[in-house]
Amino acid sequence: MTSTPDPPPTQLAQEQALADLDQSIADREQTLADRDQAAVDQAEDQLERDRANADPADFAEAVHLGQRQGDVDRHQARTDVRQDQIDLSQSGGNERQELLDAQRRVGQPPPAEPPTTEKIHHERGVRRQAAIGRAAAARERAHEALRRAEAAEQRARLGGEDDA
Amino acid sequence: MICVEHGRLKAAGELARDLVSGIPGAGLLIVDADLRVLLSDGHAPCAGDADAALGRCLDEVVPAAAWRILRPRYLAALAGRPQRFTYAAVGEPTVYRVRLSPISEDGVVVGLLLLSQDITAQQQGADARDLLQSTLDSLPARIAVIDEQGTILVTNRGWTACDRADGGSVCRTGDDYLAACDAADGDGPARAAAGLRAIASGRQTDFAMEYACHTPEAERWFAFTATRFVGPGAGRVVLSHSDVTEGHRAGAAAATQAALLDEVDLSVVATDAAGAVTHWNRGAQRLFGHPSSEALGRPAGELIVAVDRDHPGGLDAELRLTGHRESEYALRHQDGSTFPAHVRDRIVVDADGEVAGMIGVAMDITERVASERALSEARHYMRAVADSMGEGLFTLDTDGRVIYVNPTAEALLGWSCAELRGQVMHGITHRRRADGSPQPVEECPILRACRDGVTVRVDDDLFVRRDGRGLVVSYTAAPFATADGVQGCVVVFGDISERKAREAVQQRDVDTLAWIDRLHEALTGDDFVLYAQPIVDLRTDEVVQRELLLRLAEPDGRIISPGAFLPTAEKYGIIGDIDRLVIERAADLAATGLAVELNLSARSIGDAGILEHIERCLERTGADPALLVFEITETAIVEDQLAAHAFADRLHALGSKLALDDFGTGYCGFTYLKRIPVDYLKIDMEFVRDLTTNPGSRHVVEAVVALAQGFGAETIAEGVENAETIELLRALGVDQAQGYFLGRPEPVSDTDAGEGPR
Repeated sequence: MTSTPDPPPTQLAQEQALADLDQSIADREQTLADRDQAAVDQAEDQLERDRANADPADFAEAVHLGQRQGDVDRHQARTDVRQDQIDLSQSGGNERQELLDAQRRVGQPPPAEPPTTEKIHHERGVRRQAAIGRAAAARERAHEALRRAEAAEQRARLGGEDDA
Repeated sequence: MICVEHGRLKAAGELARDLVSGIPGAGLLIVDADLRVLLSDGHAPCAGDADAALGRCLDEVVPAAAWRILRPRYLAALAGRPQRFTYAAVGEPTVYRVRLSPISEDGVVVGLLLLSQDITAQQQGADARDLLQSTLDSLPARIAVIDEQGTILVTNRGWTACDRADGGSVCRTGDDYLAACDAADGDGPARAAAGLRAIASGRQTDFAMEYACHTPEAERWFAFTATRFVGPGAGRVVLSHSDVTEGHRAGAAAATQAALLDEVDLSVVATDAAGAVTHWNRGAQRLFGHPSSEALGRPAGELIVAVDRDHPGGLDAELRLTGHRESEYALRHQDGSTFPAHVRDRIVVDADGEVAGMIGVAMDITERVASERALSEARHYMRAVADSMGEGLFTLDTDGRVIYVNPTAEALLGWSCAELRGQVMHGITHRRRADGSPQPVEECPILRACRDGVTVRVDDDLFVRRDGRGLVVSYTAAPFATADGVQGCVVVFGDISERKAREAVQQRDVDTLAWIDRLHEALTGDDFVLYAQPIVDLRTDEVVQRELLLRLAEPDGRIISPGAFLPTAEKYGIIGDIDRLVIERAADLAATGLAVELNLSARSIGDAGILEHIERCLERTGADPALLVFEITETAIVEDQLAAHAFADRLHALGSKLALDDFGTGYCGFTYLKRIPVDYLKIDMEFVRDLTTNPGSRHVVEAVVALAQGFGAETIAEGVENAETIELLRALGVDQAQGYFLGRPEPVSDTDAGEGPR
């Protein structure tokens, strides 16, 4: 019994495979970035706890807390830069995916075995869910970034009042 | 006792009366044994009128107060004891000397005879003499009165006591004082005798001198005074010796004090309660210009004048209230010049606590003011120098606490001087070493300079900035000391980041040059060795090919990984020669039947000669081109896609294969895969090592597998370290794998050469 060889991949399929690889790498990068952000958040929380328990008259301890805050801020800055890169890359990926989706809708020269409608819908659904997930994650990251910015502003304001 | 017959008693009494009547002040009284008056001349004390008293008892005649005094006398006389006494009636000036004698007959007292004499005048004279003597005795001085010849007529108790104290060396009453003075040694007695004679002769009215009279036990001084005696009698001169030792000593002390005050370089001015100058020492004369003779008695406020603000100059209300006053003023000299002075005034109170005056001490502080000004200028100058330095500078006390931080240090460390002052510097900037390990304060070199007084030079250390970033510094910590010892240290430091970077670049350059030489040596000396790591087909678990890995064998036996020298080789164009060498050896191995993968550099991809070299090697060795897989990186492709495309095409034309190394790590997209035919996608170990724990890595591997399938390529997973990963790779559809779990790189040996393809 002979099996029917797999039809050669279409150009669109190749493009989609490339896009999927890009996306998977981006997702992994995002996971790593989320872990990094979680580490920064944990360090910030610990710093806040230590700051609350610190003796206000202990200058050396205040110095140490300030230096740790600097370390955390720099780590956050690096994380933010990395996230910006990821977001930029994701934006590019989204645009690319939209283009592929458009091409798919428009159609292309029929292959030997055109993909089934169900497959097309399924893949589209998968990509839509992935996009929704990415958007939700981005919104969450934006909220966290806003919270961190407000906390930093509060610290700066309190520090200015102490100096006064 | 008068023994007479009774009848003759009265006759005898009358005879006695007649006898005593001629004696002025005399009195007579005869009483019988019953104290009845037999005879009285009326002059006996308290006997009353003579006629009225006859026949009456004495207790009827004598006043009761007097009888209380006289009765015991009469009774004693009646008892046969004659009485002699002095009697003065209370309240009456008359004084009697009384003699009361018993009259006895046949041994029996039959009466009493009282004879009295009015001695009032005598008594007054004696009293006067006693009073005079008592007065003289009350005086502490040694007083004597001498006559014209110098004979001592009267002395007082002090004279007598001194006589005894001196063991009889002083003249007594009746002695010739002048003769004693003439006989004594020394100038003093002679002067005294001359003075006494002058007074006695009327040439002088008084004379005075002081003389010393020292004993082995003590030094004493006496004042000798002599005045004319104005009383009656033979006395001519009253002389006295007074012990003035205390006064002499006080005077000497005062003179010494005054002399000392004159010697000190301070102005000492004393005033009375009214503010008039009572003492003006030489220092005051020098300071203010007024001589003592001009100052004494004048109000101090006229002499001590402040030009910048009010100085009362004397006892004002404030000084009286507080008791003291101290301040600095600009005072005026008599010549009009001014000078800065420190003035301290204190009130003086007497034994009753009343203000008796004031003492003021003033000192010219011109030099001190000038010194302070110079010091301040020097301080400002040094501060300006420190503030202008391009290096950071801070000073610490012996406890390591900050005293001063210059502006450069503030900028470098991110702290202001005000924030750091008083804080322990170590805990702020120096608690970590350059390698990041904690640095205990006891081991801090800067603290050693502060405490031990040792200059410390450190060429490479780390200060921590305010924001926690490290500052690479070199510094010198030098102690600074005063006469009291080490007071702290001065630290001068500089940011050596740029210098360190330059040194690193220089070192890299040196290392690079060394590597260049070494690589050339290795090429000619055949020091490059190939290691091979097996690649396993996950479908068959068989080794299907080996990746050739380049190493450099050092003469000392060390094996150097390519990471140490490949960047230099690529940068300086040696990589092409290295690639050619590897190609040659790979062709040799392939000729033995081994399927090998070899890495090519990006530079070689663009080198048209490399493919010719490959062809030549294949021809030379007769190796099957299909046994050669050439690995290139994504970066190499992206750098020159045209060259990569041409290379891939020609490689395929030769029959060899192309693998993309470290696939997935490039940040350049993968669109080149549409144009460049690739046979293998080697999944980077970054996605393989956490494959079992990171879903993201799993998704990437899935996508790579799907991509490879879409492009007709196979996948090779790199960095497999455990069985779980193998199983998961297999499940995900990865074709081949390599890693330490499947086989470590081993030197290529002749045995490998004969094993053939798998």
